[in-house]
Amino acid sequence: MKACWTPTARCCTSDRAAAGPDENRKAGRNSLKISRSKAKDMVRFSSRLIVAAALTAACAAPACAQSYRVGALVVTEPWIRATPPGAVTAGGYLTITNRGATPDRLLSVDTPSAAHVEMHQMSMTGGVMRMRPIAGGLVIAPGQSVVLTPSGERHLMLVDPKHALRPGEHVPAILHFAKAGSVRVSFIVRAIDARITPPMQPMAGRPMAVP
Amino acid sequence: MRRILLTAAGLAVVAFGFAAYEFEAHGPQPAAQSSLPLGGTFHLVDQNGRPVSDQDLHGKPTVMFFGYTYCPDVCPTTLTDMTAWLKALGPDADRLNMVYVTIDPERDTAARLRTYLTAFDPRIRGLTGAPQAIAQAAHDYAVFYQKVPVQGGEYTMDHSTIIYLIDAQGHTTDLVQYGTPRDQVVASLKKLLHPA
Repeated sequence: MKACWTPTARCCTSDRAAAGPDENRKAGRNSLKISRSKAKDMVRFSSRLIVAAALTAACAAPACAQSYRVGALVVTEPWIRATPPGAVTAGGYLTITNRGATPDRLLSVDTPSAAHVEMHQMSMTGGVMRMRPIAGGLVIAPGQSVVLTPSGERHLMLVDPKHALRPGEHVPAILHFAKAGSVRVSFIVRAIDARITPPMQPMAGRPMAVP
Repeated sequence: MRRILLTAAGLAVVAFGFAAYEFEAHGPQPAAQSSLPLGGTFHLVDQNGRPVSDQDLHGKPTVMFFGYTYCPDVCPTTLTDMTAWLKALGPDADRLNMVYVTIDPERDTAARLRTYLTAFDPRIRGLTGAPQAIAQAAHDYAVFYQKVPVQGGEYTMDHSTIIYLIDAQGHTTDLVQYGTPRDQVVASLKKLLHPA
């Protein structure tokens, strides 16, 4: 049975390391837990189809956060807003937490699903929205989280998506950090009206508990 | 330069309008619906290539937003908001014009708007036109917009995100700020549809 969408992002596991035997063992344990729970469900419902549907729904739910570790950084819940037909840009969002003692920077993002990815700073003054590229990369201060969220102060912009991005789809990408190195992540595409935080709420630099 | 000055003057008008509106809304003696000194004649085309003037919108109240389809965040959010407002209004929504005017007419052709807007409520009309016609409409509504070059010879747009509520006679009666809670906007739209 299909447990999740990509080999790099195990559904509903709390953490997934870019590399590292400990993390992989942890992921394995979680997979085992899922397998046991699946087996129970199968007995309960006597139907593989029902379980498959339930798992798919659970994976697609916003609460099913994806986390990726790279060095001292934790990247949580990368997602992209679905695009209207013909759209040449798409908004990308995620949270990066720095558990280390030194600052790091997100230098660039690569994805085969778009021509390129830009990092933008957004401001709203007197009802006027201004958007500028983030020069020198996105800084993640030690002990802090940077939250990229719809209508927030920062977002990723995928330019020229190769095709219309539909909800439920997964977009593979590599995040390149100055110190921590690179990490493969999978952005889930959420509905065009998806929002996780109120508009223009200042989120930068707010400490955040990480599991 | 002239456009910047005009726009600055326009923004001052909007600021004044907001102040006047705030007083109106929260002052000790709420008066009948007033109108703001915004708007004017325009001649644009919709996403199907049909000419649309300000006169064509009269007879129904109008909700108007200025944006562009290359916009990754604020504009699709506003279009999903507009879609949600129409849904919340139920049958009343058919008595409203919902209009999305591009401030990027060079890239937002009628054909592009037609394709793009299929993701939203079909009652939302997209308007584009000659750059000069868009500039005039933006000026009349005190809308600020400006090209910002980015890498690769492309550009993004800085732009006003205010939403205009216009009565059936074409008078701008209210302004909605980006991010206003849905219930509050729907209440304003009901007031626009059923003025006291």
